[in-house]
Amino acid sequence: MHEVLLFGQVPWGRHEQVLKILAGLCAMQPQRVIERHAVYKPSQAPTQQRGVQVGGSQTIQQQQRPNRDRPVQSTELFYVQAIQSLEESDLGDKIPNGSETNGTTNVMKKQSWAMQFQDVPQPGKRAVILRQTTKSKIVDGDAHEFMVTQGNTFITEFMTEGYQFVTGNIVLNMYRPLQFHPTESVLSSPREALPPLDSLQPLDESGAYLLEASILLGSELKPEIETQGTNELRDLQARMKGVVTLKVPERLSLDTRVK
Amino acid sequence: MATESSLPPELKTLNTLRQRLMTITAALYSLRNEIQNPYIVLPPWDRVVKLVADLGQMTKILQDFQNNEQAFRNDDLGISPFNVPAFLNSAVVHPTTEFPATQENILGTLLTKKLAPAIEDWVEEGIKVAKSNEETDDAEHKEQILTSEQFKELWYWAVLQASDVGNKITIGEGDEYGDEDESSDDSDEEMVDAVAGEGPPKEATLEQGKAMIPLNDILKFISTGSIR
Repeated sequence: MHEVLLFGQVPWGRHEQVLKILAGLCAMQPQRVIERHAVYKPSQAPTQQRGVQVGGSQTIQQQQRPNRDRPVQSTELFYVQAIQSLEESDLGDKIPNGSETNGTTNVMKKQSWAMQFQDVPQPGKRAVILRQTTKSKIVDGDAHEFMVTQGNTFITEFMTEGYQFVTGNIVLNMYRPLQFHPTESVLSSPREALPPLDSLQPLDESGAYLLEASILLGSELKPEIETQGTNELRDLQARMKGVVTLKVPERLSLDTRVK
Repeated sequence: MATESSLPPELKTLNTLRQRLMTITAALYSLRNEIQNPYIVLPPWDRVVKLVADLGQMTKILQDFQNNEQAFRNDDLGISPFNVPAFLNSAVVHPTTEFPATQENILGTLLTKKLAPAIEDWVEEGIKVAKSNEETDDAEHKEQILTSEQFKELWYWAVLQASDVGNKITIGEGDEYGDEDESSDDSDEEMVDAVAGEGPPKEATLEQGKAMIPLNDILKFISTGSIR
């Protein structure tokens, strides 16, 4: 799959207002989205495997090869993320006396995980970010074990909290990353239980939200589809002018390669 | 020196002018050489500033001399004052018969009275600036004499500066984000205060007293799980 994206920032003081504007623009109520992102690093390069056919069709492989600016059997490693979508009820509560409880103890077992890979955005001067991405659901079993069996090591995890809108082909995600409290020991797997949302520290201490506008372009990237997606995003960019500045960030800020 | 002081004041004037002009030319040449020469490292900024200041000083000395109506005056020696501007205004270039005819090009250059068009423009602009400066100096309150054009210019500049600073605060763009700008950007900080005072409400984002993290850092975090 490919996707085109634009990003913007919404200061905390304006997030209510922007939510209302987006609700009007998309003719829908904001959908609450809480996610937990567990970041994994492959422990070894998938060396010979990439040349060998492992599912998918031969034609796609052949088409992609000339596009790539690096050899297919590269030794570059990419972070992958296991993403779990959550409900507020999965998280802990704040008890009025000031202490906190952790949420459902078996939140890890909740079958709402998906594995996500995002490539480095394609180079070149573009009006939008274009990158390859895959997101596949992990339908059964232990998600962490699944990731580890594939040769990945757990690195860290963080939460995101925000709202989702859809208009036409565009998915608008307004969210902000939240950090867990630092722990004394290095974690080797995602937390079994989650603290209350309020107790998590936003990465951006000003409380600002990130606005991400994206369109999935389907598995096979055709130039006309890319153009259409780009144009739709640019239309949105023009409509949002004066509300939120949607822009193309620095390409390498979305670099998912392990360094 | 004996010959020098015994010269007629006209020749002394020309001699002095020649020396001062040579100093300025040499300074200009070395400045240009230091900046343009691709084989040497660019001089540090403070050196450039110093060179420019020196040039300004030299120009001022030259101008003072040109406008001096009482040059070479020395009451002790009984030398009467010599009016330099009056002499310069009335002086005429005239080639002597000894000038070699083969150097006609140089002769032509020397005799030319009209300035090159680009230089004429400079002179015109300089005179205009000087006049407006004089006017504003005469009236004590500069602000009242700003023409609408100057106002436009000022505001155009101010808007650009302010939005630049605004971006720095709200989006945190620019290289000096963080601790570094404490020492280097005093002037910017003053600007920040000024902007914060009457800042445009559109960018009023500092609700919690903290600036937003740069977009690129957030994207780095969501891509890799850390901001390196």
